[in-house]
Amino acid sequence: MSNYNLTLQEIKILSALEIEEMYGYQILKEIQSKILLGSLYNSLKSMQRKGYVESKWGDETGQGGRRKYYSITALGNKILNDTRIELAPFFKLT
Amino acid sequence: MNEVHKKLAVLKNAGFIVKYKDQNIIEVYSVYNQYVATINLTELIDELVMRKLLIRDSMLRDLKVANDFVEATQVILESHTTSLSDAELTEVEMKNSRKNKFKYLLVVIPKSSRAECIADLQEIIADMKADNCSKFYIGFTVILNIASVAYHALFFKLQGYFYPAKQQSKND
Repeated sequence: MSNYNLTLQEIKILSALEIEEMYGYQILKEIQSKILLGSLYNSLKSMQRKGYVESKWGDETGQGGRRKYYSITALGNKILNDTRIELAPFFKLT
Repeated sequence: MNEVHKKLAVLKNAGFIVKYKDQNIIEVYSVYNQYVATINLTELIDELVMRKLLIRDSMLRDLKVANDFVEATQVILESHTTSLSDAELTEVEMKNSRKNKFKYLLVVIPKSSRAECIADLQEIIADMKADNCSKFYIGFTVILNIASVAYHALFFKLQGYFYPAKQQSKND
């Protein structure tokens, strides 16, 4: 998709995280994609390894579950903007 | 009385287990026997009574109501834990065993994303229940999501084994 090896799903996730930090299911609702949790976590972990997003545990405690909040890093923001510029001509946005 | 009773009914319906620490303090546990919270019934009752006192003008009348309320609540709460019939106990055990099966299913989820996956699944289930989805659909969605998390974790862990050349080029 781009020089940074980002998939369309990863671009969507980064765009959602650009607004505010979110947890897994919140991201699913925000990007309105019919994807499963496994695919989402995989994309998030892949981007975390590359340093585009960072995560922290939430304070809530449920029945054995705990929310993990993801936020975009400065590098992630830069990559997202670069990818947008790169993609704009394909959609005749320039 | 209704408000405390409603609060405890909400806990019970949500699958929580209420244990008495002493007469006034209850501990709330999840179906997996994990500690959730401690509730001081006196404080809870006092809070509700204070609310009533603030709302109404007649202090004496409300103090009488408050005393009746405290006594009645304690009787109801005590009977709530001790008076379950055999049939009800069997029903509770069956419900718990169903939830335990779900717990064992969660072992399939890799540790790296287990906690967040459980939290997300709980929210997905709550949302689908709010939308009046059928039990089968909810169960199917949950199993599909668990399978997806397990598949992605295992597949990408083994990617280097199945596609060594691809992994090598990535590393380079």
